[in-house]
Amino acid sequence: MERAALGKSLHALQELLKDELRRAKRRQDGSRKACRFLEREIERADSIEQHLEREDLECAVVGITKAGKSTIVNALIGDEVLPVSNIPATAVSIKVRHSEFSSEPRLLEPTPVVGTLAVQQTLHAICSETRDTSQVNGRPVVEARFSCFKGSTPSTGSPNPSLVDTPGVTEASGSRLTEATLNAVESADVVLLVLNYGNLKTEAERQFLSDFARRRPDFFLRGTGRLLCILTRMDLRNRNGVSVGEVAEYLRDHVSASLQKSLPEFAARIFPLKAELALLGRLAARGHFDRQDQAADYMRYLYGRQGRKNAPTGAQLRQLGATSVELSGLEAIEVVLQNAATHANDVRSDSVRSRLINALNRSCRWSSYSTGKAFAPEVVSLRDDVLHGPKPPQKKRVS
Amino acid sequence: MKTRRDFNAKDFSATRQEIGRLLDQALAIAQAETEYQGKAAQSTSVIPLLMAARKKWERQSFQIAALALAKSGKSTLLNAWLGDEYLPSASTPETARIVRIRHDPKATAGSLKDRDEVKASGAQEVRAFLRDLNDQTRQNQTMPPEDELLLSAPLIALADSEFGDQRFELLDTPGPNEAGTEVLKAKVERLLDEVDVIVYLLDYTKLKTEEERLLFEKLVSLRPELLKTYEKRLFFVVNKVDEQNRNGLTRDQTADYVVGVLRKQLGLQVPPSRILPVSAEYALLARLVASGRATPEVIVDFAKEALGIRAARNATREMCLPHADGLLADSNIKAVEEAVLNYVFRDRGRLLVDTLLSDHLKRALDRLENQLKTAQGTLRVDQEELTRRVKKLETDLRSTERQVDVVGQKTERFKRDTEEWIRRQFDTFKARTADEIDRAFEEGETRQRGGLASRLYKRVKDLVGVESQDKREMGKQVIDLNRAISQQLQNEFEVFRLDLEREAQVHQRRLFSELEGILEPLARQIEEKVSQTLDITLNPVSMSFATPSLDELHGDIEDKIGSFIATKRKTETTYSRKRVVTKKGSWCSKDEYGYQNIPHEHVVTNHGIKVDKIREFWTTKIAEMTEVSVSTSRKVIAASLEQALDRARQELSRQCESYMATIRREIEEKKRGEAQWRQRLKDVDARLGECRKLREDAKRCEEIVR
Repeated sequence: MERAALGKSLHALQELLKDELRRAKRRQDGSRKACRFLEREIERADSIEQHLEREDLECAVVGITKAGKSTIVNALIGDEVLPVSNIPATAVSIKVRHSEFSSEPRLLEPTPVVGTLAVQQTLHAICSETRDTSQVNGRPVVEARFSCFKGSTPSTGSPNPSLVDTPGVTEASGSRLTEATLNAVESADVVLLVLNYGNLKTEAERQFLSDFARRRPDFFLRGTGRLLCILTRMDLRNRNGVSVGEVAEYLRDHVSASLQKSLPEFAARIFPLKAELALLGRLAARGHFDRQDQAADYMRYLYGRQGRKNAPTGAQLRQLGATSVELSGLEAIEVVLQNAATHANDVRSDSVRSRLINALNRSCRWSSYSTGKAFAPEVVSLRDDVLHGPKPPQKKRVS
Repeated sequence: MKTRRDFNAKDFSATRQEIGRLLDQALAIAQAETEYQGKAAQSTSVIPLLMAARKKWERQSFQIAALALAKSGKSTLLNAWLGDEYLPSASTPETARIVRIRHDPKATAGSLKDRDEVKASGAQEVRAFLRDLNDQTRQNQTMPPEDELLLSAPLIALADSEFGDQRFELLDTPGPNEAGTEVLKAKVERLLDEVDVIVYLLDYTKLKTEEERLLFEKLVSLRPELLKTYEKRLFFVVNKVDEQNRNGLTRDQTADYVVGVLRKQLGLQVPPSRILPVSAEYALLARLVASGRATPEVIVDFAKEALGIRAARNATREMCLPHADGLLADSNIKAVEEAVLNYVFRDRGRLLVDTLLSDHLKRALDRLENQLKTAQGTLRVDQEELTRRVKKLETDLRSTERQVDVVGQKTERFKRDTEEWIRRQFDTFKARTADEIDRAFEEGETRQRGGLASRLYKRVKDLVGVESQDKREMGKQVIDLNRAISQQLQNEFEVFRLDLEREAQVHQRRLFSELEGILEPLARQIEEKVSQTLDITLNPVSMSFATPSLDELHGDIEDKIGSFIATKRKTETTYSRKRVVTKKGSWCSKDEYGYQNIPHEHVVTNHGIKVDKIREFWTTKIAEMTEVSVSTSRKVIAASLEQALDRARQELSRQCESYMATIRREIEEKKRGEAQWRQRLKDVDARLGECRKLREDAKRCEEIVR
């Protein structure tokens, strides 16, 4: 669907909602709930409008705390730009925008900083400050070069791809950070849902999956090309571990229970990944490590705690790095992301359209319960228009 | 005096012997006194108290419980301690039964028992059995049974320690955040009430998360007295330190962090040296490889950790064996075993002394001495003077006893509060369940995750969609649906009830401690009056009665609530077909009896109404059922309060009675003549002397152990 047509339908929905809100306020017969619903829907429609006007293709990286979201973004960049630790590190959403020409990652907002280590340290400082004061001062924006987005530049007219790293969601649903992450999910074009293989089936994860599926059911029902379930930390798999198939089954069952719909396609959407290996492999593929600790970790990964300790040469390292990345499962994800970036316009309008359909579905469902008589048929016909295109004008019967 | 390090098995058995001797002696004195005083003193005797102590002394088991969040590697740590993979540790959490691990140094292969029946032996079999059990429980969605399984297997760290007849046990319990273990929670808490030591297992990869905060919160709520003696009884182990890389906290930083959390959240001052980092997985792999019990999969995993992913593909045992020691050293498991298992083993003497000497024996001696002193006092005072004083004492004691009734009034408020609380709990339950049932029947509104509604929704939808001409078929389906609802409700209610019980116990504990607080001064009053009358000084005897265990409460509610579930099941017949007897007869032939099936009117023709009816029915049913439960619980609470008061009253009058009986008995003695009286006085003096000596011995014994 064209952008203009989408805008028109969206505008129509906004008008309908506003009219209904006006009516609901006038009725005053215990319709406080109705007002709240309508106000929330108007807000969400505004957010869809912003989405429509946005210039980038946003890929949100989401998951519960300690899933390994930042490590995945780092692996995709091929450098340790985002702060990572064994205690929760990311406290604000960080936008990493693709830039073909920046050889070094640079922080654009809130303060301009250049260089991997400097950016990492600044982000770390921002995060710990945010965590202490629990105040969010805007969203840091980083510019970096993603190898998977190579070739998709703003000059070609398509939206510029960017990744949004979000703070981990905890069990406490409804908290500020959780809300922020869910909002990021809602306005995303592509979602990288990160699941930690070493910490599956927890209460927090189930809660988050349900919340996610409820906010954007289209990702699970229609937009199968826009959701990547990344099962990271696959390196933790040992003799006792469950298979990827079992995880897929669990996910499908849980999400379909949350949505009350069957999801036959879901199994194909899981990407097993060893993010740490991918990141270290990317670093190794340059032929040398900038930091000694990275080299040590890589060596330990390859040769174990007790294995060989002498360092390989640059050429060997390049070779090892390439194999590691191949082994890690990162490339499959990159192919999907690249594909999304090449068809960025389609992906984005698909996402906006899905959000619009979600909103219409919500309103339709709501209107069947509410007292407003005029609202329901109009919303239903609008939904039909969006789903099947506008009806051809009926021919007048000639008598 | 010996230092702690030197407290070996021999010393332990010596200390234990000594404690046993002290208990026996106290028992002998008590028995002699009881024999002499006859039936009157029976009820006040300290013999039951000493017998209980004696029993505890004989059983001598030491228990360690491991507490951790799900997926923190608890089973792996226990396996590492056992040196073999007995417990299943899948990457998804599931614990269906609590497993009690008993250290058995003689067993070469562990065996698993369920109520004295051997279910599996050998690590592989045990693991397979436990895994199957978990799978079954999950698939059937049934409530796991509460009783625990017993695994007898040797612990590596204690292989050489001489235990004799003592028992050393570890408890594997589900984590507080583990899904589907609500039923076990109450049981876990009951078990934790008895353990000597708790090992807190933290997860290096989950430090500072919401889940970890939950675990600490649980620790606070768990056992206040454990926190008081945390130095001896709480251990903090941080697992999965093998995942530390360039970005993670170092071991020192980790210890500092945990110390900080403990100080901030629990107000505990724990030195960083008591935070023990460990990699249970490394330890387990290393031990399996070293012992030759490693399967090919274990070899691969070992090689991955020790030699890296490149070596893992074609690893052999020969390749791995030289590195087993190195990985074991890396895991730091030995330090943990030294700090926890061996420490408990070494300090088991003190644990025993703590409970038996400081608590049981001291109380028994206090009472015994008071009895003897009363007897002595009576024997010494002049006859006429005494008769006069005793009369006054008797009236004094009666008036003291009556003060308990005042206590009764005070507890009235408490009773009201508790009842109100229960009412509220049930109301919430009712509202929630009715709401969920409602939603199960309303399409589109059933998004509650894992709730009752979402489980029922599918069935309801199936039923609504089916258009069957066969009325019998439809009737069956309706019955099925009802059964499903009833089953789900039962589960829901079970969980709710267990929660309620747990909370109720907390309430009860508070009540009992309040009661104790009121009784204490009354007991002092009695002692004071007796002391004045006889010119003696009595030891303050601590007033205490055992809080009824959760088990008792459980049984109580179980008995009375059973009716609720029975009535719920009857509903099935509502929609079944009716059979009607029709009678046919004529003038010249016999009457004929025929049976005709009259189908139920509402069953098939109108689906909408039927579903609505079911829904309405269940909504009212839940209301009814909670009503019944509320009144039952009220009765239970009222009864238990009554019981508590009764117990308090009894305790007090027993105290009075015991003094009066002793005095009366001694007056009788005096009347029997000069010679007997002298003899009796001599006896009493001697026993009193023995009591004092026992007390000194006990003190010395405590000093040796400390």
